[in-house]
Amino acid sequence: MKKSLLAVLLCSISLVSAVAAQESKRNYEIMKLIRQEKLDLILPGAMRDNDVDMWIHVVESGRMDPLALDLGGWTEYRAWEPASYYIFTDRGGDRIERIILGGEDVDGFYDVEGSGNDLLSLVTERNPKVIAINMSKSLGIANGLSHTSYLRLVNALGNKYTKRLTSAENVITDFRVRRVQREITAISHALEIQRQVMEAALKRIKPGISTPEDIGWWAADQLLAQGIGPSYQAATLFLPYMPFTYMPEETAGGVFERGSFIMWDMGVGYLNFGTDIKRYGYVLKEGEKDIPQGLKHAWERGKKAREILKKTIKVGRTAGETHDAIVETLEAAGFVSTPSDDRTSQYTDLMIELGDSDKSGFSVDLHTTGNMSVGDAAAGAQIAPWRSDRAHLKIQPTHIFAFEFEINTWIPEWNKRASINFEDNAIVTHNGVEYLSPVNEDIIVIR
Amino acid sequence: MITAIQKVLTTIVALVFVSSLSAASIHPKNLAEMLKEIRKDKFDYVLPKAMRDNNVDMWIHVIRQKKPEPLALDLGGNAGVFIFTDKGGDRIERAVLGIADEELWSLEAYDLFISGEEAFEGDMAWQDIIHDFVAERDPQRIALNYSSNNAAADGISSTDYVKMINALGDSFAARVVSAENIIGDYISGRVLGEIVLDGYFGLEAAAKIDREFEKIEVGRTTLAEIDGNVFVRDIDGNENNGNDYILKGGDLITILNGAGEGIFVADLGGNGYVLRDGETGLPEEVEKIWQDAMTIREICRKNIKVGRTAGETLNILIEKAEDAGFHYTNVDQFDLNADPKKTQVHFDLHAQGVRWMDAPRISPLGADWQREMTIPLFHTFTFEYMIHMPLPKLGKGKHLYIAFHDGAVVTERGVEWPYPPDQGIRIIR
Repeated sequence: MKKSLLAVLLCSISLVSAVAAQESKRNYEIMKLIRQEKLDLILPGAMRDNDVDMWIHVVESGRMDPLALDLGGWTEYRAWEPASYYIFTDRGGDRIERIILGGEDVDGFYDVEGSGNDLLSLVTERNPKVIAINMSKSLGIANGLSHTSYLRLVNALGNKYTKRLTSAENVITDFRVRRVQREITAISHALEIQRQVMEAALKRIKPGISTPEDIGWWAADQLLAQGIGPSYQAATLFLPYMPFTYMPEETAGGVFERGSFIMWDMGVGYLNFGTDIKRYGYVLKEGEKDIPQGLKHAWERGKKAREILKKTIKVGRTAGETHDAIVETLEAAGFVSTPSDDRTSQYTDLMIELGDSDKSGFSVDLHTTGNMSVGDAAAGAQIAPWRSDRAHLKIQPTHIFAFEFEINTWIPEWNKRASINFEDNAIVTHNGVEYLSPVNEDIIVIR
Repeated sequence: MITAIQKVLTTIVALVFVSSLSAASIHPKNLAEMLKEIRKDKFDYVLPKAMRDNNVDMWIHVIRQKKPEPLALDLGGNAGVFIFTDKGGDRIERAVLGIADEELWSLEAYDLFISGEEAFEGDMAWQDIIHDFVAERDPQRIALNYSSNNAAADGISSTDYVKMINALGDSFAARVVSAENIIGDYISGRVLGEIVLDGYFGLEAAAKIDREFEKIEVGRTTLAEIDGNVFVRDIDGNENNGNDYILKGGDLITILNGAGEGIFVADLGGNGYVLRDGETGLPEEVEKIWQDAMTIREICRKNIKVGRTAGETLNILIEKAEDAGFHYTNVDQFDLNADPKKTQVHFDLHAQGVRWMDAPRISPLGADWQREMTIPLFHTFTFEYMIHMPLPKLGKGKHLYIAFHDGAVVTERGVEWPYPPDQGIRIIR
């Protein structure tokens, strides 16, 4: 290896061209790597921190399990083996034993392959004290176990081991929210492409001509060309997420008229990951050279709040404690808490109460994201006034979340108080909040 | 109006990437936006620790106009006197004195710009105002960008140094120390945005390597026609590297390449074996050298940890490798005097990101200060090592050779991969 790599690289720099070769191979390798890393590095802590010494994850072929891409393996339907069992056992040491029954280990991650008929003998041999299974009252991704599969499981295990069953929701939560580096880079890859496409799409709007559909479908095609589709579990899976005129009056159809303040909320799916961000545009009126001063001021208030929020979110606090700290810190900075309860008109009512005051009100919804946009909103620490079921969870290192919050400010030009929902995706590390892709700094001006 | 930094970025990136929006490109504007966020995060998160760990309360970094500077991209400008002052709290005050690049204003990374009056064209005019600026803050230790051992920290010219010492006056000049440790810690300290770039460029590098392997036609393609650092060693250790050597059956070829040069380098390597006539798969000895290499990969993964120095880590890796039956060699050559039954390994696990620093460096190569640096959380490095496996049946000194050049990150859990490492020896037919 005598030659200087630097010299070679500099000489070869101009030879580089677009690369599309073996995209599928690379995607496969990325998913395989992530699976391997999570089983090696994340799983032991996820089980031990939750005092679980065996996790049985039951899946059925033909009914996609929420963790199918996380766990890998091949589980084709076979009449004599209708269910497959992933069995993870803590037998000490620095790794967790991995078994797949009723399926095949195509990537070489599992230590034992076998038949579902071996379930009881394997469990008996390991004699776990606590067996976590994929059922949960509150967490969809941990609730893949069907009723019939549950009956089949308890029938196979018998009374002795059935008494030791517990929900795997905490194991699954920690397994998901603790990220390895390749997951972080994969999510960021999707985020960055999405950001670029959304911003490019908003700049294509022709006032009085372009419709939300024109822009939404164009963006969806650009994303698809880069291997990125809508996020799994998206509410409108078969439609693109459309930008729409948000203010001064909300309208979903028609064309984008001059004077429209446009909001766009979108999640995309890439490999096993999902995102959830927003971008904004403003269509200048005839004669206008810039965004109305009131809107500009409202936007800057949001950016100011974001800076404060960024410094308030830290590893080690619970979601509830973090929410309390956010309210205290933002109020100390002159903002007014106008919390949403996500089900009634509470937020709007509080906003109206503020009227034309020069104060800005706020409500936050810093929910987890990363795998399925909003679909995994209940996994991990949730910082929002109404997400009390997850308020007890601690923010862990590499916690990826939707940095989403509403700021409402009086806008004189519209003679109304308007709420702007900022949303980017970020990660919490030992440093604090870090951005995975440039955040929304400006409203895109459409001329 | 395109600023100077955008021009630089545009030039670099246009050379590396196509301009169309695709998974394999970063538009210069988008890259500039990503770098802007990274810079802000590094100022917020890495800089305070870098200064406080080195007991420095002011860091002055002088970049003279029209003089290439290693930290220009990190600081965001090609000219100016950048002054970072620890005034307590959770952040460092950031100021730019003197005539500086216009684009610095748009970075949203600096608190103060104090230009002074330009006396003549090219005079940055900081010398007239810096004394008062420093006196107002009264730092006890002032780090300046000179160094006798780290070129990246040695950017101040002799004339600027003299000008600085004179401008500061005796009292403050006596407090000046080298900024080499701060610069080392700042450059090697990582925020997640950099790891994101690492992962991105890693996939670029993987695509390049795939493409180069696909190009090979046995009996026709020369090493010179393959892009990257491309080499084949014969069983006596003689190396053909990027020359007119034509691949033949039985050759083990290594292609090293990278992407993100000048921004955030991500390295990667790939190994391939050329089948001999009649062979349908890898011969036993080639399978074995891969298995030996994977044993070393696991030893490294389990033993490279945050908080140890690079030198301490190297010693641990040597010990663990030897415990596992390997022979360590401190040069990348087969050791003829070693036990002929033992596979030999050489390490050069150097930092990844900016090639001109390569520290901390877990390697016998490079300067001592590179081994004395502590491995920080999220240390990004090139997982580079070489395997020499003896073939005693063929005679003394005969051996096979492969090399690895993957990318890795050290987290609190150990070593992780920001992009897939070499997946196996490719079969070339």
